[in-house]
Amino acid sequence: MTIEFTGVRELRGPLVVVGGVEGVGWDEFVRIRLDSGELRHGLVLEVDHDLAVVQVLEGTGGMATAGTRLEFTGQPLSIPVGTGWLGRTCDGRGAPVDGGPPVFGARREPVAGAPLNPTWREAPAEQVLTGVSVIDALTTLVRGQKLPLFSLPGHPHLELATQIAVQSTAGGEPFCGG
Amino acid sequence: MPGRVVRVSGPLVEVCDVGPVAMHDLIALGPDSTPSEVVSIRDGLVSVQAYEYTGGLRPGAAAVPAGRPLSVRLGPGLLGHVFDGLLRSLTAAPVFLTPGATAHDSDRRWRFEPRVRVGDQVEAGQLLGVVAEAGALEHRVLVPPGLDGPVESLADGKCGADTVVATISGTDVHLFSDWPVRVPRPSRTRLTEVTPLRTGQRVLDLLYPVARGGAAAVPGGFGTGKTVLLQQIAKWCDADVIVYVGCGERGNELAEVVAELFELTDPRTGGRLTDRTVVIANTSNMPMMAREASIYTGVAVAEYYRDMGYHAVVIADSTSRWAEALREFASRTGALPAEEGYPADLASALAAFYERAGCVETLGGAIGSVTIIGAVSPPGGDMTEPVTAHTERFVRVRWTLDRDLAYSRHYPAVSWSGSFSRDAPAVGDHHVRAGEHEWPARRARVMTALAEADRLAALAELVGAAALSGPERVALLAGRLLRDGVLQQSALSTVDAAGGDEKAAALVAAVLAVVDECQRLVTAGVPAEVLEEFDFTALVRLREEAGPHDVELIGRRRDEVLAGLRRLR
Repeated sequence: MTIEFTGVRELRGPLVVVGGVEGVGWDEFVRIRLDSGELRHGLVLEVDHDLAVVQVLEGTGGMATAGTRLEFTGQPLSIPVGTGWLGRTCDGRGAPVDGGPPVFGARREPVAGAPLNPTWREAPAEQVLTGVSVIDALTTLVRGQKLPLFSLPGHPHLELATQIAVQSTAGGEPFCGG
Repeated sequence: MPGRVVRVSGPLVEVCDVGPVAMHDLIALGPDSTPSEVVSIRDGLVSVQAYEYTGGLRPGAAAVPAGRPLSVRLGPGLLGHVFDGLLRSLTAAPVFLTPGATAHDSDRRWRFEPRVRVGDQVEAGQLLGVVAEAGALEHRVLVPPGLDGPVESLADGKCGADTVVATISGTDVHLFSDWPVRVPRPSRTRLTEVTPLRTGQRVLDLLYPVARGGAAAVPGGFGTGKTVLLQQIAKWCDADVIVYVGCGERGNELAEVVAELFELTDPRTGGRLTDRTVVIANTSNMPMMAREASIYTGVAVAEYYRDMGYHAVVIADSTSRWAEALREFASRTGALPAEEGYPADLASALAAFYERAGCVETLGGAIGSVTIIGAVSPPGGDMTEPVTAHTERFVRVRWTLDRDLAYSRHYPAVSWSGSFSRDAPAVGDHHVRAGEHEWPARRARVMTALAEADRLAALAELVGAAALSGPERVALLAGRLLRDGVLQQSALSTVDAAGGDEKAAALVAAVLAVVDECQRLVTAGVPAEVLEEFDFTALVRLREEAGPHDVELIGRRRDEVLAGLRRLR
């Protein structure tokens, strides 16, 4: 059974303030149903007594205080994880935008993740060969590290990033993409 | 009847009906007993900062006050392990740190050997006994502060964490004790006599020395080598205990320093370097508020070892990330933002941290010290930003890392023009007392030579090196030889990474002797170009060739170079 709350008190920018709620925790994922039947999504930014402040991921355009119903899922935003993601194109919430079916996976994980215990980390040492000689020779990338591309408007940073993703190898295997 | 949560906004939680609580008291929140600390009390409404992720915490959840301030559990077994900001073991924790994952208590047992007898009169700080098998460093159990009287009972042999090891005038003394992290541990007096902390880095020990019990800041922009320099100090400085607080920095780097400490041998004891190190880790994605506490936790651990009569060094990387945690929380509580959004009490928070450095006579009469070395990461290299500017007020030594030096591969990139050491005169006096009479003059000579070379380099950029006189061109050459032959020190070198006083003195003496010879030659009519083109490779490679005590080799190479120079006449 799902409980939907209707007591929307305030709409401002991307925020919805809803009153009279009970048992809502911080950082919960919210499904928001508009009067028109449209489904939107949100996250709880703050709970104060019986008030909850919800950030609407799709924006509040077209939302009214009357007729908006919010369902609190009791869980943080999570997505299914697994190999079902390979070859798919999805939006920031994990919903498909390639016209295909929803992505399925054996289990769901919260998108925020949990911090990795630093004592379990191994210091990264295995080189990633990007095939871009200036990176490989001067600013070597190793597996498990980060490679930010600082760029200015008009520079082909996306092409470079894609090139690296496509042709990189580590330990003789394709590193990512491909 | 516990209190209840009424408002949750990230790490800021408001609770009510918790009964009498004091500022900085610990409160357990919700079903996971998330630890949190009281930061404000108004009309029965208590604001707390939570030390773990508060996702799912609801208004109405229980809030149970612990009745004591935020404390850490101090006892044997800290050395060689990695802890989180509240000193909970990460070594024993699972791969992913979900809330509550670190809350295990060790059930290890220790062998306690008493050093007093039942019936003895003891005072606070006095040695009660030692714990064997606690590593290379003798772990001393002391009479807690504020306690004295006759010893009524004593344990002997295997003890667990909660075992009473002694009873003193009716009060139980446990093997482990809790200490509130924000309260400095008491000592008898601060000592004024200065002894230098040998960091093992030539540029620091020679030009900008820090005293034991002093405080140093390492400001440096992105990519200037702060972390590597601090790691080198953690590995090679001559302290008994290192507390390395990795505070808001990258997990991979922390993993690297822990792995290296496990591999390297301590040149002083022959054991592993990790046996003298306590690592407190709050990497950039671990709970933000625990970062705020981790700094104080680190100092409390260092003071604990100081009280045993050891010299401890706290290395905090980086205090800027810690200040950002203060800022993030202050903006949630709606505190009026001061400079660049930092809370108005940023300066006093920094002072509360750096002022806990000191060399003291402990309650038990031993000498111990806490030296604090903090990295500062000024955004965009702006040295006037609030964290850097306030930090400078509370430290005695500043090691500024220079972007241009780092980008020209001069490591450690400590700028000789942008750094200072208020401890230098006192450290000089110490060296003179210890029989090294030339130390102050040698330091002054190197400083002057570097400053002169910088001045002439700026001039040469305008008028060209050819327009300078012969002696001036030799002064430029002197700057180059000092930089390349003395100040540079590779962290990756197996020979040179650890440095050493003897070697530093010999290297400086060798370079200065060569410079003096060059000045003599140029005055005698040898053209400056000939000297500039002379092959000084043997001299600048010496730092990589000579071991820490190879003074003889340095002298031999110096004489070879001098002989080569004399043939130029």
